[in-house]
Amino acid sequence: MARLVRSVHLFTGLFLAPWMVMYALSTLVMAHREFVVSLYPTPDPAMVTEKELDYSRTFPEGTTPQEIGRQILQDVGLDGTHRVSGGKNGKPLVISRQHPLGIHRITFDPAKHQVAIQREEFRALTFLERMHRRRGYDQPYALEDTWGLSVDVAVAAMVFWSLSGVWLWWELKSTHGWGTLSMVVGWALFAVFLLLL
Amino acid sequence: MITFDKLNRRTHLYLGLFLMPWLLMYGVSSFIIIHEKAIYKAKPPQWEPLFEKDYRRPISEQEDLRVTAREILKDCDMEGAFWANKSKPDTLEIDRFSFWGSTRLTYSIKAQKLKAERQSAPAPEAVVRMHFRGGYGQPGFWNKFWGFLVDLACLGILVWTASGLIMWWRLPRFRNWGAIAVGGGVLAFLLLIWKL
Repeated sequence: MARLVRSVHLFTGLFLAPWMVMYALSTLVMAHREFVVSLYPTPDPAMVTEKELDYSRTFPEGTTPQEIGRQILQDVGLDGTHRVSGGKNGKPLVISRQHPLGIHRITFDPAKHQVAIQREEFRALTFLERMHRRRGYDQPYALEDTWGLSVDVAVAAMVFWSLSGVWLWWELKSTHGWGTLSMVVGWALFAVFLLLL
Repeated sequence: MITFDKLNRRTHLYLGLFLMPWLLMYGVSSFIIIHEKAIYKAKPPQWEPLFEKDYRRPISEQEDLRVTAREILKDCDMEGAFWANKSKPDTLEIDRFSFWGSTRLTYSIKAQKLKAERQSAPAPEAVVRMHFRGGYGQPGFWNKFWGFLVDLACLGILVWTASGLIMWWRLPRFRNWGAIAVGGGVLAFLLLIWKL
């Protein structure tokens, strides 16, 4: 049994290493955001215009901004997780396509029948923050659900590593002394935080 | 003398045992955050009145809001982590928060009245509050120490990853299956980032 637990502990750790590294680095940059932002010339990454297209498609009355947004994304080949804003009373419709490496902002101006596509410049800080906050499951895309599932697996693995780690430690008799001390100090400190904070 | 392999294994183990409460807390709280709607329904906050009293503190427009709020909390013997907000020109709101709930102080500058109300956080929300707490922005030793331990937990994860990879590489019988796990993980992660 111990051998099986050790193998699962090891292989899940190896497979999920990219997720854990991303969560560790993103938490660090968020905790020290002010300092990390000061390393960049501007607080937010620049938006670069990629292209402007004539867009002749018309939408029947009553089509929701969400439906229009999804259709435009399909037409320009950028379908995927997005948010839609504006688009009411003939005003431009803005679609934020949430790509991990940089948001695409697609602006549809129905008066001019034009679509402008801008892309956010890549920034490691923004990428890490975006991936940290991405939960999945909240958009009608299979890939988004797949990401959500991978996060669920990483979360379950964190609990499993903790519990299996205790088991594996208990099998190593020579480490009982220092191991007990590490665990007791950790839990005692955590309990103090629970009382004081 | 202790060998590198032994040092690597012991660091992985003892760091894991020490940081276990944080790892468990992040695991459980992440699950609650992702499946919040299924786990508990956020109810409108129930504020329980604590006190309302006469209070006099002149507040100038130039003064730092956090400095003033900290002074008010000191006067009420409620020092600790807080946010301050001046939603209306004559009202200062202070949220003195903990893992287990919040105390809202409302200071009406014109009426010179200070009102305090308390709201408790249910257990799932308390764990989520721990998840979102980090950094060194709040006053007091224990708040800064928590920030330090959040940093340490992050460094711990990086050390576990690196030491885990070293341990795997030093175990020849696991090399092939391990390579599949590492390669599969990296590939799946990159593919998701590319395609999302």
